[in-house]
Amino acid sequence: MMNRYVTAIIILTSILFFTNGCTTKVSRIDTKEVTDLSGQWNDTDSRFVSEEMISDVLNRPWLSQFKSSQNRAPVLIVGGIRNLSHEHINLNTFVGDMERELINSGKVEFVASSTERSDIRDERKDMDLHASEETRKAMGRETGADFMLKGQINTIFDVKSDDQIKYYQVDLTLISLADNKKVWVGQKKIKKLVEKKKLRF
Amino acid sequence: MLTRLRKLTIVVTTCLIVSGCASHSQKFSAVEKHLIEHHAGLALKELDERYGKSSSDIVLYYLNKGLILRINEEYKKSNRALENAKKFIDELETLSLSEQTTSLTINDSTLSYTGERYEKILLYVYKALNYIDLGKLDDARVEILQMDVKFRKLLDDNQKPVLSEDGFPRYFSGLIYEANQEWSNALISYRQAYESYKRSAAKVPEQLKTSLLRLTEHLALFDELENHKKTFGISTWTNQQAFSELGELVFIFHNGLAPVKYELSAHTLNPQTGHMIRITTPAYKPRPSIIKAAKISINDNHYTLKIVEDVNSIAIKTLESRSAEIAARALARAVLKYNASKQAGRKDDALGLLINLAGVVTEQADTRSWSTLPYDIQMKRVALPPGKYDLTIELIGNHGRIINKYIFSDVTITKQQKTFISYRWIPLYTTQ
Repeated sequence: MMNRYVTAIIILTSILFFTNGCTTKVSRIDTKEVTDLSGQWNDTDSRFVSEEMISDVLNRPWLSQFKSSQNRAPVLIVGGIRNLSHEHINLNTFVGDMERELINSGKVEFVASSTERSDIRDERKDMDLHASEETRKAMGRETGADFMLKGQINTIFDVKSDDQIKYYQVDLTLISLADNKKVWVGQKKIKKLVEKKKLRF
Repeated sequence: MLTRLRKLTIVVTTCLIVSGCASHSQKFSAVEKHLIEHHAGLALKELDERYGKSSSDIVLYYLNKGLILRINEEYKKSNRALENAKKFIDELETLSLSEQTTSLTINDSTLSYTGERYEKILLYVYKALNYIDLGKLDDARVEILQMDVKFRKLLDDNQKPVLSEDGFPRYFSGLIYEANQEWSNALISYRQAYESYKRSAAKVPEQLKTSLLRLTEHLALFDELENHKKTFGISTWTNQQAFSELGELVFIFHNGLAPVKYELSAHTLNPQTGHMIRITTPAYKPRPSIIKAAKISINDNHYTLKIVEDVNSIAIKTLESRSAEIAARALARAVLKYNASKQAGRKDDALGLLINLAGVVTEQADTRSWSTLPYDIQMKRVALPPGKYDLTIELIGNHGRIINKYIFSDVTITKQQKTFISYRWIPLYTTQ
């Protein structure tokens, strides 16, 4: 009688041991691979949106119009992009993705954003004191931007017990700094269905 | 021989019940002791040592860790802990078959703790407050939006609010929207807050009433405005235009500590078979506030804070609303345990006794709760011209004496913006 209890306990303990005793497994995957773990905004969404938006902005008439009137490539700056969504979204990677796409297209020029500028200005001030005459960079010779890219990320979430519909809408606007005219408005939408397990062990 | 063995078992069991297996509230009192003595660092250490490895208490561990870190002004770390709590709540809310079975055969503490309804909601409020203290209003807004999704999910799961538990979270959401200049969103939240306070017969905060009047007027919802004017009996308030020339101080006082649970138990001995039966249920012990009033003073003007969330009563009412279910489970468990020992006893008397003993010893009430929450939350909003101010909070005890005073210097008030200030106070003589 007691023997059966002992055997049962041993079997149970070993099951627990084997199910809990898994070690951490790490494998490298391609950064372009679509990986959805929690259903939240992730690197894939950030990349999709930035790639599509930028290819759109570069193929619209404002660019050719500017080039024909000014005879040079327009200078852009990324202004505030606000996260008005339901999730904490890392805007730095999103803005970084967009800047990269824009600069690498070669069709527009880019100037540093306001936070980056203050660092560079500090460095220039420092150069004034410490750098040699030949290598010193003078103040007041920064390139002014022609357009500012602004935008926001909005979401609508619908929830029914364990399932969620997530709808993301990214709106970007390109505004002319000379006259506040909006020269381009871009929009990208993503819709996801996140289903959760109803039971667990 | 057998009677002697039985007697011995009873003695051993009694000793075990009295001294053995500490319940959650007993275990947690060591953490709280440090907190009451204002040693948040030591409280964190104690918490890590006692709860770091317990998997069924993981949510509770992160909830408490989050609040202790917040008390210690480590807002980023606090948010990381609270985010973990949120993640585990989402995961563990899914019904577990194995845990349900174990809880029916051992006790309710073996269930993974996922928090009471009001705890799940206040988690978002405290995360948002952390973001505000980090100067990240947009991130606080994210928490408010997530809280709204949570409200909908709870409604879907048929978890209903008790008293005015949704009042302050909704009111606070409105303030965040207003700070973001989103008037219609703010009004919707204020309406929801008003409904919650009204439904529970709690006192609707006067400042919520004037906010409703101001925003319905601003958004030209004149029917609603007339209705509110009649119901509230208020005829004058600062209109939106005048209000936009000012900034607003939002002072939130988190007073004392939430109640703790203790175990109520009943033992009985079946005189014919000698079987012991034990039934336990949890109950709350409040830790009453020793403050009669909290006042803030700015430039010789004095304002009394008003209770906006009575956490103590909400906690007690929540447990009450679940007491029938808890008692039913305890009874079912007692029957199961009794039958198991009876059946085993038929084959082997000693084994029957052993199972009876095990059943009695393991019968423990689930005394887990997020007890580092405050006893209540009090608030006062003061509209002020932009500038820098020194403000003082005074806590007045039951005998009218000032028992604590704290000065906030150089508080900046900016036009059209809200300056949130949180103050937590746990008196040294809080009972554990």
